Amino acid sequence: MMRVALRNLAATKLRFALTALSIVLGVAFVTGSFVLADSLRASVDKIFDDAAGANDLVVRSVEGPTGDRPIFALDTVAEVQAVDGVSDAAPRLEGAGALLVDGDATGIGISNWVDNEALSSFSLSEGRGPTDADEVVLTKTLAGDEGLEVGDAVALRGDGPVRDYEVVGLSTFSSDADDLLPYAFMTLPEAQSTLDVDGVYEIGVALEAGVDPDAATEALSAELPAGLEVVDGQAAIAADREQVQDTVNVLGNALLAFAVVAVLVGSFIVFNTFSITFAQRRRQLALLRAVGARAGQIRRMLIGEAMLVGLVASVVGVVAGLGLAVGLEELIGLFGDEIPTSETVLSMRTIIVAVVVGMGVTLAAATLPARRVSKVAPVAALRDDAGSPRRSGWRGTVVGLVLAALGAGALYAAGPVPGARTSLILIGAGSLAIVGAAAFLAPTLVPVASRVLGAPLRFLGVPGQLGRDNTAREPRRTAATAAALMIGLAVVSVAAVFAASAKETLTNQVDSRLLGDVIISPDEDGFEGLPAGVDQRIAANPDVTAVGVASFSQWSDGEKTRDLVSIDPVAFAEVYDAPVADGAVTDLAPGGVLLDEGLADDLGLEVGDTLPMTTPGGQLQARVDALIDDQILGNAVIHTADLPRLDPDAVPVFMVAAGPEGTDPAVLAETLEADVGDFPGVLVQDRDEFVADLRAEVDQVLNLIYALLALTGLIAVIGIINTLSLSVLERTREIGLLRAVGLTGRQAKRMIRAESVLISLIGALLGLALGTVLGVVISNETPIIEVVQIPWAQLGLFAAIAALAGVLAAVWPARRAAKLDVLRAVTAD
Amino acid sequence: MSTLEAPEAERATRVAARARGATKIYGGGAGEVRALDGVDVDFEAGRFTAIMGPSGSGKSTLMHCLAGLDVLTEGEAWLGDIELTGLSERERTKVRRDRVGFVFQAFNLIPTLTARENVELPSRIARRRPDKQWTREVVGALGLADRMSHRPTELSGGQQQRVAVARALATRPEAIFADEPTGALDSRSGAALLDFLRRAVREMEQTVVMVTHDPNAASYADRVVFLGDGRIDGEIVGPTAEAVLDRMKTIGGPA
Ligand SMILES: Nc1ncnc2c1ncn2[C@@H]1O[C@H](COP(=O)(O)OP(=O)(O)O)[C@@H](O)[C@H]1O
Ligand SMILES: [Mg+2]
Repeated sequence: MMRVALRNLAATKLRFALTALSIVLGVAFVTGSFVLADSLRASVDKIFDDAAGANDLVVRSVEGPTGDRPIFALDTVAEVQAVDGVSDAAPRLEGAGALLVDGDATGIGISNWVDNEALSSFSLSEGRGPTDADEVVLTKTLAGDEGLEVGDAVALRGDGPVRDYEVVGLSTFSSDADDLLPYAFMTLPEAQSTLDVDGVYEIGVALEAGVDPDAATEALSAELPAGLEVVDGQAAIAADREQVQDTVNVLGNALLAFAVVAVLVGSFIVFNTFSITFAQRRRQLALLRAVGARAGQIRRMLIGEAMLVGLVASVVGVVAGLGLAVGLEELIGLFGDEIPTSETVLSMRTIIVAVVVGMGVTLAAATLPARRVSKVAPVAALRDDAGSPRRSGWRGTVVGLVLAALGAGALYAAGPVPGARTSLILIGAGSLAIVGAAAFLAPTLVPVASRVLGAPLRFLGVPGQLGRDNTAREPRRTAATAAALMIGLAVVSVAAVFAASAKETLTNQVDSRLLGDVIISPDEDGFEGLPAGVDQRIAANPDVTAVGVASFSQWSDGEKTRDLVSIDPVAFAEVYDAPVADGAVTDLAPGGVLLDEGLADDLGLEVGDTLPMTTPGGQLQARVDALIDDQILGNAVIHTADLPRLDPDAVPVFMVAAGPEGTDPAVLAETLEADVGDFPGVLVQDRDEFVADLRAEVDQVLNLIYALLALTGLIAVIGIINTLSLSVLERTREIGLLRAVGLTGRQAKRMIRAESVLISLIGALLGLALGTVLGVVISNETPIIEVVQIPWAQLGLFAAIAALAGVLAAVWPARRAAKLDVLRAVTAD
Repeated sequence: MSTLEAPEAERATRVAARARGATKIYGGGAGEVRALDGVDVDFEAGRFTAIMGPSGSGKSTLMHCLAGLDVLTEGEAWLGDIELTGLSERERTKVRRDRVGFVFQAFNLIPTLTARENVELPSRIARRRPDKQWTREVVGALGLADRMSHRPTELSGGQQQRVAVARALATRPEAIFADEPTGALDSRSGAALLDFLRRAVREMEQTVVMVTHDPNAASYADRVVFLGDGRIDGEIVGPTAEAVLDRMKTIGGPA
């Protein structure tokens, strides 16, 4: 008897451990998201603080109309230097470049070396600063990564051709984050020359000891020519800091969203476990009632127990979250940019939120089961009925139906209103309502689903049939278990459908619009544009009959800064057939603009109207020549002829070359690639490669989403294990009877496995169906998605994975069922 | 009826289950319990045998060991021509499935299955087609014909036990082992069940071994074997309730 008791206790412990585990994982995900975002924020802050601290004041030009700051004359340095209180002034120049090693380009920053500790955040760790034009200092981590040492020769490219340099020194950033900042530093004239900048971007100012910064600012401002301003070091980097912090915030919020899904799924599991374990104690609780315990006392006792589990799990979750933060960082590094953190930040806010979430979920999940069981009649202690839970309540069904109607209404109301904020909110709320509805309706749906999906189990004989019957036996329990998986897979399939539709849209667009054969663009490493001269080289190839070049710049309508594309319409129309709503691309003439149809609508403009545009180079009263509707060309397209006046710094970023009729794009791409081989950082792709790349980019995001949802899947699988092991325990006697009348251990395993796989499949298929429908609706209502595609093969794969997860989840419970002591089971009272 | 009844001599020639020097020891050292202590006994085919004895005398243990549910510590347990002691768990499971019928005191049926599915369970576990005609005969004799599509919760206790008997009979096992099958029934349902067990033996040539406390129940049997302290303690052939009761009094009162 003692052994039975111990075994029960062990089983209970294990069950609580499994329950706790689903809380732990959810809390860990929440913690990990916060910790990673906080750590990134702290690292970024540290870098910016160090950078800001290097300057007492900064002189820079006033922000231009499109948000950029024009360069200004180098002579200004001398003027600044002459002002009273200024001890030192250093010009600064910075631009994107590439370090070339064995033909591979690594994107880096190119800047001028400031040999003054008071004005630079970088200091030499080895060697010396550059004095000759062909000398550079590299940041230490960059050199290390590329296997370069002082004395080595390197090739660098800025805005012009590749030049050769000698590494004369290595530098480190004052905080230990220099791997975030791969730089090559040159002499000022060389930096100006290689970046093709005739001036400076800013001047760092160090003040003499005891000089009041405000007074110095005033003095400087008085001396400086118009168009320049003086700010302190912090203000100088505020915009950059904000931009980086925004990116970090977006990442942090995205992670949190996934954490919320994980917590939500976990809450189903926790709810389920409490429902079952409390119900199993019904007789014992009835006995307590019989000896005088009030319902409220019993409820409080059960909730207290649950909260203890919740507290322990939350604390463990917070600790696990610290580890998970590292894992998440690695994961994101794997799929995208590396995000080095220099410290780990566990803030009080993180701990509080995580524990509140963990305890809150536990409390919410335990309340209903505790209330239900605490109402047990004292006489139930004397009755033998195991207190089988009532059939799924009609109340749940009603709530589910109402939610479904509301959700469907919201999704319908959202309609295809392009980009409207309310539309997005309606879609989000509608989707949530639908998923919630499915969760409420699950107890009603599950018996039907188990009958339909379980039909093939007939062929597995008695074990299959029993497995199927068992899923229909406790619809609520099966439903809660399956619902966990359902939610996970609904999110997965929304992502899958959306991504497939996005890919298909891209492919279709490129297929139908791209008339040329080869696309030339900057490769992803750090280049903002194509090097000067590439276009001539491409055009010079005898196999090329047409080249279209698109340069990118920016414009503002006085409120919002938008991307600006410039093309030669005739040449471009030969290689790219942009859809037009009114007019033709070739209607574009100098002084005119091709305007996006939607934007024209918003601005109330039609063909022939005038749009005042502010560009980096000046104003343009642009005549609207045609209305277009194309993602690649974007909002506004002007004529290349206007470019020198409007933005002399605009760089070509996209070129399409076409050969004569019947050209093999792959062959042309190969010859063009050879033509521009000496230009580093230029990507030459034929149409297929280009499309494949676009699709791969979507896939990369999708895979990251899948990876982040994997944890949710794990929680759902834990839920299945939990439910199954509880079922095995509850059905000890029944399984014993089956074994007594001849069910072999292997068949018993098969029975549990059938139950497990069926639960998984019910959850998976409900989730897939739900997610697919939502995915289709959302894709339909997303303006940029033109073709909605359902990735059947992928969805099928998910179903297969879910079935496999069911098999795996059954391993342990099935073993218990097979190893059950038959004699004890059938003779137990 | 009498044509169905084989002559006594012919019915009792074969042994359906047999124990030789059967010893079962639970635990070890000081806490050792000899549940069976060198039991030699034969249960003839085509006979209804009752096992009686005080509580803890080893009745259930003997039955479990002969039915392949448990293994002897020493000695031999034969079911027909199969010696069970050396068999693996897997082989014993097959023996139970194909050659043994069980009726427990309670909880004999799988709640998710209908009565018919429960009856056909052993053959369906073996993936064999149930013998429909035989099943119909058994079910008819048990008066269950119109109850076969019901689930256990829709049946009375007596009906449930009769379904269990039908299941035990369905595979025409070597022997049916029933451990206090009437223990949880009212006396009328109990009598009906016992009556049927006797008919199964007399008219359908089945073999029944039944553990019971109840002298009245034992009187339905052809023979009663008495156990005491894990040993055979005599037997009565052709028992009456009074004879059994008298006998029980001499070995320490009804169990
Ligand atoms: N699993 C077991 N572990 C230890 N002792 C047992 C076990 N099963 C039975 N026994 C002991 O063996 C003896 C015979 O038990 P049992 O065969 O159940 O007797 P009966 O059925 O005649 O009442 C009893 O003393 C009982 O306590
Ligand atoms: Mg017994």
